Amino acid sequence: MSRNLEFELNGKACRRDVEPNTLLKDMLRLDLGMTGTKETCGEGICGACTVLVNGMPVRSCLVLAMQVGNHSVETIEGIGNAQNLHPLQQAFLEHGAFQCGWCTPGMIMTAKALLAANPDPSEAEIRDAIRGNLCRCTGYVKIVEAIQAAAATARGSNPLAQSQ
Amino acid sequence: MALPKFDYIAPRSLQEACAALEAHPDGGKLLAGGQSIVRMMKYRVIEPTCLIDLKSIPGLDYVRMDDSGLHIGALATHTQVLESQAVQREYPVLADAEREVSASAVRNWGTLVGNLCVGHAASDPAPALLALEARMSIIGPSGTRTVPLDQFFKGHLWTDLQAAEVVSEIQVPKPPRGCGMAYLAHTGRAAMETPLVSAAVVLVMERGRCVNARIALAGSAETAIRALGAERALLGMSLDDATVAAAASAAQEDASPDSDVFGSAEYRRRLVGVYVRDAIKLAAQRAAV
Repeated sequence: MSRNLEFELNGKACRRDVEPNTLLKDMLRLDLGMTGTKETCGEGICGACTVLVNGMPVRSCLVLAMQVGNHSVETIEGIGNAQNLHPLQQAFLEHGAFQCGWCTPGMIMTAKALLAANPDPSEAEIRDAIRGNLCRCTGYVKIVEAIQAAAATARGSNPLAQSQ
Repeated sequence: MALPKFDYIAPRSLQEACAALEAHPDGGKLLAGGQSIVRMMKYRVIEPTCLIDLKSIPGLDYVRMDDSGLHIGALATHTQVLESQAVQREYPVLADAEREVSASAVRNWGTLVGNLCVGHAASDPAPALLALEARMSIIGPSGTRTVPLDQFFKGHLWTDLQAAEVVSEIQVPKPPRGCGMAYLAHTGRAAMETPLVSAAVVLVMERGRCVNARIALAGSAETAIRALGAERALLGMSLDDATVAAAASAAQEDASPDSDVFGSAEYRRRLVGVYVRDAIKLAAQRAAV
């Protein structure tokens, strides 16, 4: 029997009817058509399905949709678009921080939560934050550089931006 | 991977959760963060017909310190435990173990009590809490009871929880004054791994001799265990290399590991010796002399 669920999605009130066995990632992808959130392993290891709940990264493949009632959910669709990229999205583009792109939404949502808590993270802190987000293409170097650049932009101290 | 169908109940109190379990004696199952059991349901390891969602109960996500020690509520997440100043200051062995749990996205939603209630041998926080002599507070139809953690773990995915019982909190006594603590885990890779073997050690030294030792292991038996033989090997002794080696050897006797795809029993037993040795040395360095 489906249940009524009320929550906030990307800053807007959202009301859905969901079955108890609906996972958060399926409500986002199949019901709401927000396919930016990816699923790879389906068991909480790879991090591709990471979204923010109340500003904190969670695995949407291991969270029941019912459990986000009255909470705020943020997905990659909520942070920017092609006309108005989020600084992290811009930095990932500029630094070539992806190849296939499958891990990117989860990686960016994890990085967004990191920068909200720590605007000037060290490389070690960045690597610790993304240790649950697997990328099989890049070797992580460009991802770390992109997050460092986005952090610098957000602090108004991006050396590239200053030199221009 | 999809989940099978099940019914869903959102109780408003632990008493309501107990009543819901009583009303579903065959297929009722408690859900907290679900970071283990949703996965187990995907693989049909368990097939509950009704999930009783404790996350709907307000006020259970506390981590607080009082004169008797630390109290960790049933819904405190790993992140809340890890970020607690009291845990970092008074119980660093628990903070070190919680830091090893998976990744932040799992720690943000998964609960410490839920981790223990799964009853898996490869739990990072389980040996830390065993070495700290933690107790589980349990609410059931016939009232409340308290069980020492070493009696709570019964076997693989098997705890002392009886029908319609719910863990309400973990109680951790104040650590002995001047003790040294250490937690060391062996994992196949740096991230996203449960421990193949891990060791937690809490030591008290007086005038160069060990007067209190508590040592616990994960991944070394069908559940997390105290290494009582290793503890006895340290009592009254100065911790020279020979004594530490004897304790590590005793821990290997305390262990009864199985072989699985992650490692053979022999390999795990060797790891027990290495990690108990290193954790004892680290804890001794950190203890006040």
